[in-house]
Amino acid sequence: MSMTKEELLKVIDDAIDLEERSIRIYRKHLDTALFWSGLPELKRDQINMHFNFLATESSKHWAKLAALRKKIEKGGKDVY
Amino acid sequence: MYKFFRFFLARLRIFTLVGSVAVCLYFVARVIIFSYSDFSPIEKLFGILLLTGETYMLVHALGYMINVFNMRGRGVDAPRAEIKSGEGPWVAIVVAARHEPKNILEETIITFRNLNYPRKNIYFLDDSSDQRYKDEADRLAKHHGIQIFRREERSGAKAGIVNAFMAGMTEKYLAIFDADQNPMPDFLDELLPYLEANENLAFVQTPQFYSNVETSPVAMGAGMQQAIFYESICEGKNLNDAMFCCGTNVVFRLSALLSVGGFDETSITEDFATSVKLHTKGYRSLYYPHVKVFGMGPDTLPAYFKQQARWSGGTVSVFKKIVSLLFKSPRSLTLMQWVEYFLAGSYYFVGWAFFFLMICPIAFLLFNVPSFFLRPEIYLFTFVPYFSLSLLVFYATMYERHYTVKQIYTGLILGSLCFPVLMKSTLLALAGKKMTFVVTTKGGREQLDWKGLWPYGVMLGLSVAAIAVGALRFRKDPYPIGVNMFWAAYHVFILANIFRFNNPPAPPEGAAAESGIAPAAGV
Repeated sequence: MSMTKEELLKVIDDAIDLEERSIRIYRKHLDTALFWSGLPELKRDQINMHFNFLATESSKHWAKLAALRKKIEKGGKDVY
Repeated sequence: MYKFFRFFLARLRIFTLVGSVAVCLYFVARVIIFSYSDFSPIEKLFGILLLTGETYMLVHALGYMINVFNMRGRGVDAPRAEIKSGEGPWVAIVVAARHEPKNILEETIITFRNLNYPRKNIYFLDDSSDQRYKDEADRLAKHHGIQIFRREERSGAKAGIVNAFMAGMTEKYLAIFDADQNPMPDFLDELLPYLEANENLAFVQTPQFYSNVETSPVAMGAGMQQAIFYESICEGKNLNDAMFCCGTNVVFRLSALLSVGGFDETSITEDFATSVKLHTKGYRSLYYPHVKVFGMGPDTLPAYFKQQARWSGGTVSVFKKIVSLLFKSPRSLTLMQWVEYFLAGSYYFVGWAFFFLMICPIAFLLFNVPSFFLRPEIYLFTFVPYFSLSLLVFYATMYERHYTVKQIYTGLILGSLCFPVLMKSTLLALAGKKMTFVVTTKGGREQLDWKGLWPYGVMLGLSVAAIAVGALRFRKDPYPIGVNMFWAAYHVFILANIFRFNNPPAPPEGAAAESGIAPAAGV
């Protein structure tokens, strides 16, 4: 199965968008789960730090996808 | 407090047994003494009202204790089938919506797309009549690559469009979600093995868990009520194979649904009505007691009251059918299924029970009409053990699940404040009529106006007046006046909370811009 450059760029755009928005959605829900967890505040803060770390890590993933997108866009190949 | 609850929880089964005996003892004492007391017709009327309110509370307290006793130390023990990756059955994931804000729907669709389970088809059952919402739905479907389903003729609300959709379904299972419910990626991976292992299992229900509890006291209270229901009560129902569908966060076996003619379109709580049909047909249900879906709860009083009016009206209309079925076909359900459906179906009469309990101290203190005929020593030896053990069992089981007393109380007070809505909706449902609920907005924010607040104003005024009169008469007859003053003061405390709950939360910044189209008035 092959796809054109335009189709591939669309898939990458969608992946970037989906990932960015998904993190926001799940983050909101996980915050609430943490609120109800009954864990001490210190422990909750620690877990929150891990969540922030994971969110930051995901931004690196977007950056990689964005770089890949740029490479494909600039490249001469049209069918993948 | 911690040590005390731990001591209590370690012996919970014994305490629930003792508590159940205390409930029965108090009830017997109340009925016997009421039957033999000498009273005037007006005293008799108030006596019956109080006894009715108390009986309701006693029956539901007993139901709770039985559930706690049964479920102690037991989890989900249903068999699970192994599903090989990519070889499982096909599942239709549906969200049925009518005039829902775009941003809320889109978040739900994103979480559908993120479900790990590969063999899934996502459908948006769009029931909108407004062209702007239809256009938005089309754009959403195109952007996310999901399928739109619309019906030609409108009959029945959500049940109608789901039934119309089911007629053309090719998938084996149907996962249903409300517009604001977001499943976690492993939702289907966790639930499908139960359905695949047991052909007689009609559906698996998971809890509703509100993510917006910190936005307002109403959202917190509504979230707590959900927690109380989905923690102990549903787990107990599950053990008796009487867990009913709650309309969202559930996976159905299509063949089971079709065998009962689809969702019951005659009820506004089609989920509850359909569950009764499935159970009477011999199908089983399962409650999966772990949160796999996060959603949004009502965060203003009008939104909460509207939700409760719909649920109570629908439940009571099904309750009438359950009672009729019990007489026509008593063997169609097991004894414990009847008990569980009776408890669930009668739950929303709590508004009447609370009202009866409120007016009796007022009648005694203001008009010298007694309604409680127990001697002080019998009251002490029967009421106090029942009341304290019921409260302890309830608080200890919630405390065990990390809920604080303040959070639990917020849920209980909000539930009590719903009494005028529940009284009206249950009465209309008994009469076979539907309740309409008008929402007024103030500065774009939903709030009850004075027309909605008058029942609280009247009851507050009467209770405060009753306490004042009681204080003047206290020396004359301290024991009964003191007890009635205590209850009137307790009711004043609950009623005064209406002002705290009626303070709507500020809308989040940029919410209007994000949602695209302004949300329409509720169904």
